[in-house]
Amino acid sequence: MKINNLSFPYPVLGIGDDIAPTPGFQGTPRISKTGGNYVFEVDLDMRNSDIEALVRKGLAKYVCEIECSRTLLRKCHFEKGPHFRIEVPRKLVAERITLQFSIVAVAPIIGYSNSQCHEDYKGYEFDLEPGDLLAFIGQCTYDVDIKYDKLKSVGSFMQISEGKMDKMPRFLLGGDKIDIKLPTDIYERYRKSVHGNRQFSHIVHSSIVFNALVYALLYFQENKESLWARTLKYRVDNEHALEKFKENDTLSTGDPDEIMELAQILLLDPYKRLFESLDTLISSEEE
Amino acid sequence: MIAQRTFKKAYAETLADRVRNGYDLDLYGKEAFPYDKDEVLIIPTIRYPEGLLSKLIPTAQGDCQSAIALFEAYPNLTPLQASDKAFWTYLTHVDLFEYVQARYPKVKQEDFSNINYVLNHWFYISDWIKVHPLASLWWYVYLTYDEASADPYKYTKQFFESYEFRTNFVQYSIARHKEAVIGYFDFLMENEDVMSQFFKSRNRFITKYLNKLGGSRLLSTLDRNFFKAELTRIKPQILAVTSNYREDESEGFDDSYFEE
Repeated sequence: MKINNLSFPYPVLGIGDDIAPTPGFQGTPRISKTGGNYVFEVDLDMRNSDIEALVRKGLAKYVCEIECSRTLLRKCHFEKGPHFRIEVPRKLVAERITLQFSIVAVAPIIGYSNSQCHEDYKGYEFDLEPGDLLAFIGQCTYDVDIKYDKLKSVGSFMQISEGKMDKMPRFLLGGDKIDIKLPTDIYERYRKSVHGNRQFSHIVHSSIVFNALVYALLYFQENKESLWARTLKYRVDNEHALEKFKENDTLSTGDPDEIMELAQILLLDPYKRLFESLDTLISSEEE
Repeated sequence: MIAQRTFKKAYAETLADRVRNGYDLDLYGKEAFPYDKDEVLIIPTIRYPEGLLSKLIPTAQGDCQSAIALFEAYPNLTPLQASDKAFWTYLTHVDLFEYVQARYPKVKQEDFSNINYVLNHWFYISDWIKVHPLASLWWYVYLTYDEASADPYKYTKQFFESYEFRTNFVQYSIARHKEAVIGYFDFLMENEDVMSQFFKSRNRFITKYLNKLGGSRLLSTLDRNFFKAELTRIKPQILAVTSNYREDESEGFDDSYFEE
């Protein structure tokens, strides 16, 4: 069920100003991993006495619809109250899970009305059937494949690999990471002399890594479902230092000036690091 | 036990990227696809199913049998593993290359140059649920398998009765709710007149009807009995649908995807 822009023939809590007070989440949903499961703990803020009375009578239930489009998962978890603890086996989901919380009728409800509904509905009664929505409380999403503990590492969204069939370096954006493909001869040099050598990391970051990131950000929209794109979007949406790019919707607009700026912040000022490292290299040569 | 193999993710993506850019199309017409053996990994939890290739029938009529054989060949495959592009790309290029090529033989024609034909049938692209020759079959069984039935493939067989379910049912979220699928198919099995004629139009009417119903009801909370009863209730409306039903309202779909 896509709730956005829906209007119902009867008042639904959480849709526009149909019924007061507007429900929501109490605090932030808590997500953890235990054994082979993801565990979601969610507390809902629902304070409509008429609907709560229907739940107590067993005519309605709280429900969380769990969806994962990648694994075609669609199932419901029912509760008699506003606290949910849901275990989702890891083997059943990939990429992104959506959890949508609502209250539905589970038995026929004859002559439904709500004392806190908008005045447009005053005096009207409605007959509801099982499955009919009484309240839409909200939804949250969770990307199961993002490595939240390694977000700031460049390795979380980019890799350098051998392009056995390539004659020139190029950037691949269709996989989980931005993939810098180097022809075998260059890759071998990179692997032997540069990879893991901190002395050269600033040079690599300010050259090929920076180029690849700018290229990828300019093609963000076409690849927005890729893991690297969702990882970067998560950072833009959640990091204080990147707030400006969230407000300006830079990843969608692809504004070249802002993309350049964003790439530099994501790579922790690579040009500055380059010149600082050159000073060190020069002085070590002079010694 | 011989373990199943798969491609490294980056290699699977590289193969797709080369096809997208017009390279390697001629390789799909060869007897075997020349892949890089250094780019292969072992999946220790999945047994390699010996003899699977011989159980697959490379025709549209054989899809049901092939789908069941594929599903049974990987009894421990989880949805997470079955959503892995690299796994299916390995099967289409290595283990079951011969089947895919026989099912979609245009790649053997001289001067073959249809990039989308290869992308659709050898790679797990966005439309995979309709066009991937292996992944789609596995998922069709997964969505219709009913462990509680005496014949757990009862609904799978019903699914393969009409292409219409692939073109105008499986891509909707209602198809992910197994109770809805079973309720719908129970209704069809008990009302053969519904499928006897104009089924393309009638199925589109039904999917649109259920879609509209889902606008105000959380259908995933309802069981098979609801769906069967609801369709039985509107059966006169369904039977009134003929080929004149406005199919232009439906999302366009190119049936040529299934041509060999």
